[in-house]
Amino acid sequence: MRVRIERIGDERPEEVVIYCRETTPEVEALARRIRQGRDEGQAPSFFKGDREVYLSLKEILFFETDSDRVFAHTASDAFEMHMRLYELEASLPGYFVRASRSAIVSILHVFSIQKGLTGVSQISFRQTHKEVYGSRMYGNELSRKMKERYLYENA
Amino acid sequence: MKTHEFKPHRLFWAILILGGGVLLLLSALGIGVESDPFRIIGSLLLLGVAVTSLFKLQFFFTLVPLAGIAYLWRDPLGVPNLELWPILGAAALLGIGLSILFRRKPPFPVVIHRHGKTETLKDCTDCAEASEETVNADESVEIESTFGEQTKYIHAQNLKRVSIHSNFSEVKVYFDQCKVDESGLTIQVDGNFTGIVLTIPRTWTVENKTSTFAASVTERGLTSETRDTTVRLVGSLNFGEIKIVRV
Repeated sequence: MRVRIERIGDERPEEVVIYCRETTPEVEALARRIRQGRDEGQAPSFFKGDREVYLSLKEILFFETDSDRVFAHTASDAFEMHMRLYELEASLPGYFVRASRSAIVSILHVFSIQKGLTGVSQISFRQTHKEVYGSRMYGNELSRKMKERYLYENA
Repeated sequence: MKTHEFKPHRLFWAILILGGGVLLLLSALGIGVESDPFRIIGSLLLLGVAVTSLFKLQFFFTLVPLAGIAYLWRDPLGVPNLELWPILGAAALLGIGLSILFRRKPPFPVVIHRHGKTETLKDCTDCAEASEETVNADESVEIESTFGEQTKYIHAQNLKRVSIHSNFSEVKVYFDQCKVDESGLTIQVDGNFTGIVLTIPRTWTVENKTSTFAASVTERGLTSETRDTTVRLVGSLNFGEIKIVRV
């Protein structure tokens, strides 16, 4: 893909336009990465009790809600977050995907997805006993994201 | 895991089964038993299930055995054309409907104060210790699931009790992120046709005091030599399995 940078004057807003023949998952992933580049200052914060903990998003397996609290799960621990799940979803990189009304999973850590008769999927992660259930409503998006995982792993 | 204590309902079952044994013996000896002894024993066992379930207000397990008894005695009851599956189906649907209409009330209320609001929970941890108690959301957790699958990660920092109500569901509860109160933890289970997986730290000791029917409680995973927390598993489980996984 050819990359062209064009300088403009103050009278026009800065923007990135992608010219493509088809909106493929690769193009969508590229657009997401460009959008995230503009929001780098809004990194989510993690808390353990009254301590603020500094984690890389790549360590997070999934986010889940417990009543009105949101928790980020690593392989062996969980950290509270002081924001709503939908607010968090908007600020996350493209390798996170909504799996149910109460969970967002990182496709980088998904080990297996077992679909049940009712359409509910049991999602397990690498090197941990933790699991979450994914609802039927978000199943197609999750499958689509899993197919483009190599883009994020090699980014 | 400790064994069950002697309770009145066990005496009831013991008498029922002993009665069945005596009837079989009399039948083998040709003394005084005119009807098919296996039909009598089957009816006695089903009646036992129905009676004990009625006391627990479990309508499904009251009506289905009664339907079985009606089928076994269809000729003396004057309905020789009674078919098994329709009568069982009718009993099952009636049982589920009644269970939804008349949910079992707790023997004592548990009141939770959560964000300024007061909620009353359907809960019974141990009827022998029944009393009114006020707990907060960091001490008590309630999980309900019907016809679905659910995972629940418990993050409470002073956990005293967890109530799990699960019917026709798969429920996985993770306790490895929580802290238990010094007085210990009670897990109350009310499950029918369900699979429940309890993931606990390997340092926990589980005292199983559940009453089960066509169900089992199994443990998996390595245990630690040091034990720091005692968990009492109470309640009832019918047609299901509780799997305790240590991590």
